[in-house]
Amino acid sequence: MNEKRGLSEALLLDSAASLRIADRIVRELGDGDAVDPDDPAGVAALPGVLLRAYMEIMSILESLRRSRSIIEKNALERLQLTHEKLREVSSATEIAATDMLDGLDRALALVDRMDESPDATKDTRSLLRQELFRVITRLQFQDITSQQLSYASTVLEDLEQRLNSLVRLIDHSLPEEPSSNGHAVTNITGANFDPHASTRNASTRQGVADEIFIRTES
Amino acid sequence: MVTTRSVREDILQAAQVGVNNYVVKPFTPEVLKEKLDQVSARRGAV
Repeated sequence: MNEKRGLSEALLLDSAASLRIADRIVRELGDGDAVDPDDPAGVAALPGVLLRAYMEIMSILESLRRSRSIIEKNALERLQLTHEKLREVSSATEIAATDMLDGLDRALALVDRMDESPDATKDTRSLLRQELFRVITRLQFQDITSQQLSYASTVLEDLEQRLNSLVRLIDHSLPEEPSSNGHAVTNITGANFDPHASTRNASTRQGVADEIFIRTES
Repeated sequence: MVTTRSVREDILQAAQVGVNNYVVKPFTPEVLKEKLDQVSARRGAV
């Protein structure tokens, strides 16, 4: 993914450079300094100037065509992944909230049982402790979903920056802005959140960690 | 170490820098207890 990003950025820079050259040539033609209509040598140079402008414009079109398909594919993949992350956040939040409500309901029933029979058994207290433990465990979803939301936010900021780059390519009189909210865009690979954070398959992932640690110890 | 990070490279890096056990979030109380028991047993053996 990073390789594609580098390629699209290089293509955008190429297009920007070509646009600057074409812009200069067109300005020179507009100023009338490049070609003096009374100077036969200047008029003779006109086809050459026009050919240069034509070549530069063709080069820009080619770069834009190539960068468009790369940016499109890159953006689509990342947006799909972001969409999956947001769906996971929604589902994890719902499951955790339901489980916590169920757990608290069972805990209340246990408290009622203890009220009814003051000599509540050790088992009832142990069951209550387990229910409360489960509620605490369920609260772990918050750390994971906040990292997933940070990932989604970074992807959107990155896409915003790319769109700004494309807009500035066409109109380079626009000021340079890292992003509309004024914050520098964070690189996903160097970010201080886990882009792979997930509430799913925890036991499988724990198994992988155990296997690596057993192998490291032996 | 208790973390959401569970990509193989992250776990390997933790093992290499001397982390003595690795708990992936979200964990159950049973898993946490098992890991704490392992650490205690290792400390007891020293």
